[in-house]
Amino acid sequence: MSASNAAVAMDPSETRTHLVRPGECLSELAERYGLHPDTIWNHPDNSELRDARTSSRVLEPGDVLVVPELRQRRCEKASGKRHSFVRKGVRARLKLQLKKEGEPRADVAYTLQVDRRPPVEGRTDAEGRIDQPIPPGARRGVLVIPEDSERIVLRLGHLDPEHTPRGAQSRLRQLGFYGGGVDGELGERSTDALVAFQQSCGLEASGELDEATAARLREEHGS
Amino acid sequence: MSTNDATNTSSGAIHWPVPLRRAVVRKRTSYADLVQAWIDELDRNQATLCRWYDGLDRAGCATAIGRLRTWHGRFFASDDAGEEVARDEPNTLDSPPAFFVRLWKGALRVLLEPARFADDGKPMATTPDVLQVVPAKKGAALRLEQSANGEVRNADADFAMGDLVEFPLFVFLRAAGLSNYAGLSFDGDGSPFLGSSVAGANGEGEPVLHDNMMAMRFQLLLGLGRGAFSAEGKPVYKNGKPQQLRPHAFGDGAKVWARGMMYAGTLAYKPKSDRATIENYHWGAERDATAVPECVTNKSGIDNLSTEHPVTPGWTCSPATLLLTNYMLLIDKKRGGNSVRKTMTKSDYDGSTVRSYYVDTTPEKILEDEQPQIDQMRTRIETIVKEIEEILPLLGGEQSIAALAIDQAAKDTAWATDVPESVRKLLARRRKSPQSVYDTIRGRLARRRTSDEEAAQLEPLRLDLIERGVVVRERITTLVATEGWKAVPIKPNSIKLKGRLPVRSELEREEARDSRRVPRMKFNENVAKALGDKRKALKKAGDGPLGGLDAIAVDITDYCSDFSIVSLDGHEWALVKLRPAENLLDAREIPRAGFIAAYDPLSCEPAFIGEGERERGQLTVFEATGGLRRWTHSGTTYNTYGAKPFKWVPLDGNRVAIGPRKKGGMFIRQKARFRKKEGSTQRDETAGTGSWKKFCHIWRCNEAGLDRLASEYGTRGAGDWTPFVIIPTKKGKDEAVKAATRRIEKNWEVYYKERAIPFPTIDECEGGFVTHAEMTQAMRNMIDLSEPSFDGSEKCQFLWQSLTGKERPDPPPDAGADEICEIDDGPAQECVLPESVAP
Repeated sequence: MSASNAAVAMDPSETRTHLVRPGECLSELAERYGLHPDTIWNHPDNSELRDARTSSRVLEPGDVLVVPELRQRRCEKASGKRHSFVRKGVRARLKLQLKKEGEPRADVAYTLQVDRRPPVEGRTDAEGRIDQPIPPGARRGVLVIPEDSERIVLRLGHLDPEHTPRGAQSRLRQLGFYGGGVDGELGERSTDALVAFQQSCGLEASGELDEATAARLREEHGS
Repeated sequence: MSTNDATNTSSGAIHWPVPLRRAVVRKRTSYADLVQAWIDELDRNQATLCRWYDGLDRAGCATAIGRLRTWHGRFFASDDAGEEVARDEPNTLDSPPAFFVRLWKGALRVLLEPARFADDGKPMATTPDVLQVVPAKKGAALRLEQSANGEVRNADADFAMGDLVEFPLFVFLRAAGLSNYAGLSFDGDGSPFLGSSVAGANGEGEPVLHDNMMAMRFQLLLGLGRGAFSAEGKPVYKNGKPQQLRPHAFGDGAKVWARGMMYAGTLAYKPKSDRATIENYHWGAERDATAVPECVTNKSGIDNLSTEHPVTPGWTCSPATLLLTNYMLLIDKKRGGNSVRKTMTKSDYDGSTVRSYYVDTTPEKILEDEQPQIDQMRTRIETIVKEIEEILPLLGGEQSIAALAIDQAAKDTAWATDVPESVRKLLARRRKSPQSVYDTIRGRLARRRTSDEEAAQLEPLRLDLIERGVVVRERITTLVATEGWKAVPIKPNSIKLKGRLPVRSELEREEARDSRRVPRMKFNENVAKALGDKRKALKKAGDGPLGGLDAIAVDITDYCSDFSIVSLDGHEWALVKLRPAENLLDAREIPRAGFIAAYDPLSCEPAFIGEGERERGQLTVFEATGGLRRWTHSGTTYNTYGAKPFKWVPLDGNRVAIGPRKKGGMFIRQKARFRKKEGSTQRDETAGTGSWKKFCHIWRCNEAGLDRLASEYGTRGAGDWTPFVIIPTKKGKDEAVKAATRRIEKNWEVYYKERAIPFPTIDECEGGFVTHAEMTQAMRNMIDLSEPSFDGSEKCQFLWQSLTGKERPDPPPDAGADEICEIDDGPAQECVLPESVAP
């Protein structure tokens, strides 16, 4: 006797939309909707968004994402046996590079706690990098570097695109140029930070968040 | 500008003894606010920093401030903020340098800490890697996590009143592009008072940080006097009531009490070790401690202590002024140098614990440079003393003016020579009494049998005396009218004692009326008779320019140098001219020696009372007082032993009031001199001096100045000063006392590296000092007739009176005539040195 099991598959003709809210990113949404991130991102109806964003991992609140509906898929298997079904997907990761005054912090001990999961201890690699798997829906992490008494709260998935004021402020702050809050308003201190960043990169010190500056911010930051 | 760009300053919570670098906390403040205040300070004074530090420009400052703000924003970020990062994508977190501050704990924090001592024989517990939670009695705890070098590492730290912090200026400068500051760090063993708070990596050639070491050094003395033994539970009592000094210490439960006394021993030179140290020289004690109790004080002093209050040795006026002058001004080649040092070791303390404020120079050069100022100050002091002496007769009324006039006449070799021999002899005999001289002349003139020839000889003398009196009066009038002098109104109940001065018109009227009717110069009686009740007398007396004076106050700002030691008859006191700490910012080049500034060691309030004084300098009295009695027994002079109040009081308007003394001469009046807010326990004027001046230098008007110091001490290692250490006085066989002593001796370096007031508290010296109760019992034992060496003589009577305040009802018989004690008339200040420290 054979049995039929339901599985999901993409039906390009059936879609819905999702209005991106602060802190949401593609991997989280894919997890929520039961789809592979690439399934969503590569949907034809998202072509315009793909053109607007340099990375599928950095969405802006207000973006509209087309999410295909799940579809049934039939698969025949013999009865009386155990069958394993593997769902395709990508685990989210947290990728950080720690620097101090521009220099990588190599082989530095750290502790990372994501949401309320048990903390993970580790050491940075020779380039000061941390690469840890995290749940796709994780929202908050706390990175502690005992050596320097640093405790950094991470708001996972909250990074806005580089050309937005918030995204620029976040990147400037994480690159050590800006100590103010991330509020999306480019005030005097934000402008000073932009000038300092532009000077450090050899860009025109206009204090404006122009295209070149945004691109360089993304390049220096990594996202 | 967005709201997040706005700054949140808390400058009102701190005071900057060294702007841009070092601050003290005036009221509880958070770590974040503390650093924010530094950011604001740096932001405001970028031009100054650029002027002081070679290679620093505004762009560098802006960059460094940006880094500092970044660190602030990240280190003190709330959990709601945090860094917004991407998932699945690389994120770079580039941290700025850490700007942790270095903390030296204030008196309040020390008092609140649950444990400050290690067991005897072991070093005091330090606080690396330990999160110390210091409980306050009320309110939130004081959280503190310090690194081994004293940096505060926890973002939720609180800072309490009295805490002293140093900001990592060297990190700032490095962030601003000055790479030569990269090798610096806080020295965990260092002290801001010793110029050793920051250490360099290389030991030599470190870059220099600005400082105000003169102020820090003076602050060390103030800490000794004002805060060394501050304690929550053991306040100073005054008239039976505890005197709390600080209205808003921390939270609403903790209190800090200042003893207001000078502790430790006395500055002394030890020939054997060829160095000067602080010594306890057992006031009132013979070497055989069983003969006389070590602590005997007078009743007024005892009344200000609680029964179980420890009575400690104190400094009297001379040691206090000696300490001030020698410690602040005596220079030696080892003091010096940079304010940045490599490490601080014990050998450093032993050898040259006091840093110099004159870099790359020698003691001889210092003296040479300072000599003009010394001479100028000496001249000014002599001037004011001379003027005071001229004005003094005013305070004694007309009689004194007459006395002065006659005294002038008596000193005039040509005066009264053209008179018969009998008259000249008569006057000569009576010149000690001015009134008698005048009365003699007047009597002779009034006598009918006086010949016209004699009257013709005497009348010029009489008129001359009157004229001299008028001249004296006019001179006084001129002086008093001079700017800076101020009359102190007489009190109503003493108006009868004051006289109205003669004026020329009155005298001329009298002369015109009848040259033979000589007016008597007893104006006191005339005033009292004419004016009737006190109110009228006061009003009338106040009408004249010189009427109704109780004392004369004079603004002595211009007469005083930064340190002015006034050596009076039997008393020395110092005037210290303080400047606002922020004046350091006016320095054209990077300052290190700085100038004298100060704050209250407990409350950290800056020491200023008026804007005028802020401009001219605020004179403060630096004085140990106490009219403890002195007596001589079997050829040895003793001084009553006990705690001496230490006064550090700003002079209102920089004025001192000069008043007459009982037996003539002048004295700076206590009550008029001090606008005291707290603290005074004794008011006795003093008389007599001891042998101290033979041994130690006192800066007097007509003595040599610092040059003498150099010649006597300069070549013998006189600059090898140890930092001050509190030495308990009960060095007997009591194990508890020994333990307390050992703890202090072993931990003194820790005090310096951990505390804003680097001395042990009363609790930490527990057992090391006798208590009031012990002293009382010792007194009773001593005056017991069973003790043959104290046989109820005057000395016993004196001791009994000192203890009880009453005359002993049944004085014992004079059992040993050869043991009779000689008791000085007046209270004394001085004491002989014990043989062990005498040169």
